[in-house]
Amino acid sequence: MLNLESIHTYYGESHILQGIHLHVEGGECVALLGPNGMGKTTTLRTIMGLTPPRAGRVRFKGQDITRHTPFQIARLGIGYVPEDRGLFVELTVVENLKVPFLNLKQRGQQKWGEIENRIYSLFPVLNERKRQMAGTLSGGEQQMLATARALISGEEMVLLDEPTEGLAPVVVQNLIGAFQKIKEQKHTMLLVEQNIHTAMEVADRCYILEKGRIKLEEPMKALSQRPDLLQQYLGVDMGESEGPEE
Amino acid sequence: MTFPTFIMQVLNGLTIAAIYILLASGLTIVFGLQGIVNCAHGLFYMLGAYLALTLVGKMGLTFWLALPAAFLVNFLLGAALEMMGIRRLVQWGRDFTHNLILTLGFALVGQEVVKMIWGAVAQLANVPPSLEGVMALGPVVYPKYWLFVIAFTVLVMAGLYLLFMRTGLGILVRSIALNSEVSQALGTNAPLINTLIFGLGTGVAGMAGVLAGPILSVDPNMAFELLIIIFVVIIFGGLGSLGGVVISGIIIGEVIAFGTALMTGMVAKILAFAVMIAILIIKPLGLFGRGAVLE
Amino acid sequence: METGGQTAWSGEKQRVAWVPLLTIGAILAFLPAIFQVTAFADYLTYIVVRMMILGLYAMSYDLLLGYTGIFSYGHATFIGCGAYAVAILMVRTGLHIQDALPGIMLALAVGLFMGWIMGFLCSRVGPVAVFLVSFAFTESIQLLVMSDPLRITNAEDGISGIPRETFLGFLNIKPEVHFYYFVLILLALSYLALFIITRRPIGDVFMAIRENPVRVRFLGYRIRHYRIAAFMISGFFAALAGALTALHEKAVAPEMLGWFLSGDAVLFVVLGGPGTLIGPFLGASIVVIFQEILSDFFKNWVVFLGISYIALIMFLPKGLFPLIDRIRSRHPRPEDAEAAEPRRG
Repeated sequence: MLNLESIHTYYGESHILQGIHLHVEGGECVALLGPNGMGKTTTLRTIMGLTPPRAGRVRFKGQDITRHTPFQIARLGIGYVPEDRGLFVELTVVENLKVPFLNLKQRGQQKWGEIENRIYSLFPVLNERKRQMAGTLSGGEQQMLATARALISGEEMVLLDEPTEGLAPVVVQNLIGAFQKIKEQKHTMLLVEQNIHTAMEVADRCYILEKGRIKLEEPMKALSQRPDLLQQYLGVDMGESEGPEE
Repeated sequence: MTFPTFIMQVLNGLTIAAIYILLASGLTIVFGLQGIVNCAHGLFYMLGAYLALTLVGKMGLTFWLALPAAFLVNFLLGAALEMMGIRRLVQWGRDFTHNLILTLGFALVGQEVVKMIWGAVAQLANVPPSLEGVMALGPVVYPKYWLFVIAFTVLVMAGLYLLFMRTGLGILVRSIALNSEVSQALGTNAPLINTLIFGLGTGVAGMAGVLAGPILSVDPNMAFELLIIIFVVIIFGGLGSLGGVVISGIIIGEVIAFGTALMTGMVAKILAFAVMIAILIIKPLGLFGRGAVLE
Repeated sequence: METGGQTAWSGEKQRVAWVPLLTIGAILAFLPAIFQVTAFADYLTYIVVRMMILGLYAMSYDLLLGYTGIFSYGHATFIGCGAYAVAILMVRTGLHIQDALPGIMLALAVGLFMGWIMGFLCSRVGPVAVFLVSFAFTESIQLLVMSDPLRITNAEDGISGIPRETFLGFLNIKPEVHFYYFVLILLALSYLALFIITRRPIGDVFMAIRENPVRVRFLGYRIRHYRIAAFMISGFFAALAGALTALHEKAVAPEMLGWFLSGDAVLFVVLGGPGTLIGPFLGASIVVIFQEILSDFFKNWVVFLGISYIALIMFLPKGLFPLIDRIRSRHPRPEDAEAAEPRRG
C-alpha cells in the first residue's frame, strides 16, 4: 500500500534520511524502531508531506505522493499522530475529533454519529470528557484523543509517532489493547516506537533505522527471538523492561 | 460636564469604537491565523468608502446595496492579494517582515491609485435618507445613523462569534490558528481557508469604510491615519483575540472621544501611542493575547 | 509561525568589494569637475549631494536592518531630529552661531540619545512589536514637533534660514562645490567607520542576532545591549545625515520626521541589498535619480515606490548589489553564503 523508495530528506543541510526503502502492505502493522534522533520522526513527516524529501519517491496505492501537500495526503486516507500529539489544546475533545471529520465530508457518506460511536467504543474515556478542553486531559487520554483523530482521517492507514512515550505502564497497556483492536479491524498501521515491548505486542514486521539508514527488516516474531540483534541495534536486554524515555 | 453631554460622549466613543472594532477584527484574525501583519488593511477600508461615494453619490445606488457591494469587492481584492502575494511568500519560507513590506507596497500603490481616480480632496459622504435625523434616548438626542453604526457592528461581531464558535468552518479556522501543521495533517485545506478568512477581514474593512464615510470624512490619507490607531487597539486587546478587540476598541474609542473633547487631538494621539508602547513592553500579550509577539 | 532564524537576507561574509568601492569613490570625486562643462552644474551638484546624504542615511539603516535584522520603521526620527537639532541651535536659540561644527556635534549627540531611547524601547519586544513601536515613536515625535509645546520648532511651517558658512572656523563650506566635498569626505569617513564596525566582533554579534537570536542569548550575550548599541550607532550616522540635510537645504520641516522617510530607508536597503553597506548606498542613489526623473513626468510617482517594494520583495529579496557583485567577480554563486549561517540539524 505504502512504498518509500530511496528517500533522502534534509533539515537545512543535515542529511537525515539517507536512502530509505520501506513498504507497508494493507492490513499490516509495521514498526519503525531505532534509537532517538535517527530519523524515525522525519520518516513519518516525509510521508505526510510536512518535510518533503529532496530525492526519492513516496507511493501510496501506486500513486506518487512525494510532492503532495499535507492536506492532500491526509485526504487520501492517511492519518497522523505526531510525536507531541499535536492536540488543539484550546478546543474541546469533540471539536478536536471534528477537525478530521469535517475534512472527510467531501468523500464519504459517513454520519458523525456513527463515527462518534466507533471512537467511543474504542476509547470510552473520551465520551466522558467530550466537552472538556483537550489541554485538561491526562497524558494517556491525550494520546487516545490524538489516536482517535488520526483514525478518523486515516481510513486507509495510520501513522503513529511514539504513541507510548512518557506514559505510565498501566496506561501503556491500555493503549496497546486499543491498538490491537484497531489491528483486528484490519486497519493498516505504521508505528514508530522506542519501546520494543510495545512494538512486539502489536507489530507484524519491523524495520530498524539507524543513522538515517535502514539496517534491518524482520518479521516481529523473528526479531524477538534474536536477543543478539536486539542488543546490537536497540541496546535492549531482554528480560528488562524499558522505562519511558525522557 | 452635564449628564446628557456625558452620555453623548459615551455614545460618541462607542461609535468610534465601532469603526475601530470592525477594522481591527479583520486584522487581528489574520494575525492569529497566519502570523502576518497586513499593512494594506487600511486600503480596503478606504476603497470601501470611496466605492460608496461613487455608487451612492454619483450613480444613485442605494446605500443598502453599496454596503454588500463594498464587502464583495474588498473580499475579492483581499483574497487576490493573499493568494498571489502573501501565500507565495509563506510558501517560500520568507521572513514575516517580507510580508510587511509586500503589504506596505500594496498600500502605497493603492493609496496613489485612489488619489488618481478620485482626487485628493476630502469629501464627506451622505447619510442614507432612511437614517437621517435624530432619535431621542432618554435625556439625550442622538443621530440615528450613528446608532445604526453601533448596532450594525454589534450584529457583525455577533455573526463572527457564531461563525468561529458554532460552525464547522469555525472549528477548522481555530484549529489552524492553534496548530496549522497538524490541522493540515488532518486534512484541512489551510491555504484555502487562510485566503477566505483574509478576504473576510478585508471585506469587513470595506464595510467599515462605507459606514465611516458620513462620520469621518473620506480622503486618501484615511488608510494610514486610522491604521496606526487600529494597531494600538489590536495590541492592547491581544493579537489574535476577537474579544480583546471588542473590549480594547471600546476603551480606546472612549479614550479618544473624551480625550478629543477635553484636550487636543494631537495630545490624545500621543497618549494612545505611549499607551501602546508601554503595553508592548510591560504586557506584550495585551488583554487576551496568546503570545506570538514575543521571541 | 516560525522562521527558525533563517531569513532570506543572509549577508555574505564579505570579501572587500574593492572594485565597486573605488569606482564609486572615483566617480564621486570627479563629478563636480565633469558637471562644470554642463549647463546645469549647480543643479546636478545639488542632486548628487542629496544622493550622498541619503546614501549615508541608507548605510546607517543597513546596520540596523541588514546586519542586525531589526526591522524598525522609525529611522526618520534620527535624520529628522538631527536636522532639527542643527536648525534649532543655529536659528532659534539666538546664539548667532555661524560655524557648522556645534550644530553637527549637537545633532550627533541627539542621534545617540534618540538611538538609545528607541533601542531601549525596541530591544525588549519581538519583531512585530519593533515595527509598531518604532512607527508609533516616530509619529509621536512628529506630532510633538508639529504641536510645538516649547515654541522652538515653529510647528508646521518648519525652520528656514539656516546659515552655512564655515566648518571648524576656517573651512569655507558655503559654495555648493565646497560643501559637496565636505559631504563626500564625511561620507567616506562614515563608510569607513561602519565598515570597520561590521568587521569587528561587535559586527559578528549583530549578524548573529539577525540569524539566530535565541542561540546568541544562550551563548551568554546580553542581546538587549547589543540591540541598543545597534540603534545608537545607526542613529548617530543617520543624525549626521540629518545635520547635513539641514545645512544643505538650509531649512527643515516636519515632513523630515514622517514615516515616508522611514519607508525610504527600508526601500534603499531592500533595493540595494541588505547587509552590504554599498548596496543601500547605491539603492539610495538609484531612488533619488528615479525620483528626480519621474517626478518631472509623473505626479503620482509614489506608485512606482510601492510597485518597487512589491517587485523587490517578491523577486529580489537580496537586493541589487549582490547581483552586481556576482557579475563583477565572475565567480559562481558562493556557497560560503549558506555555510556562514548556523543551520538547524
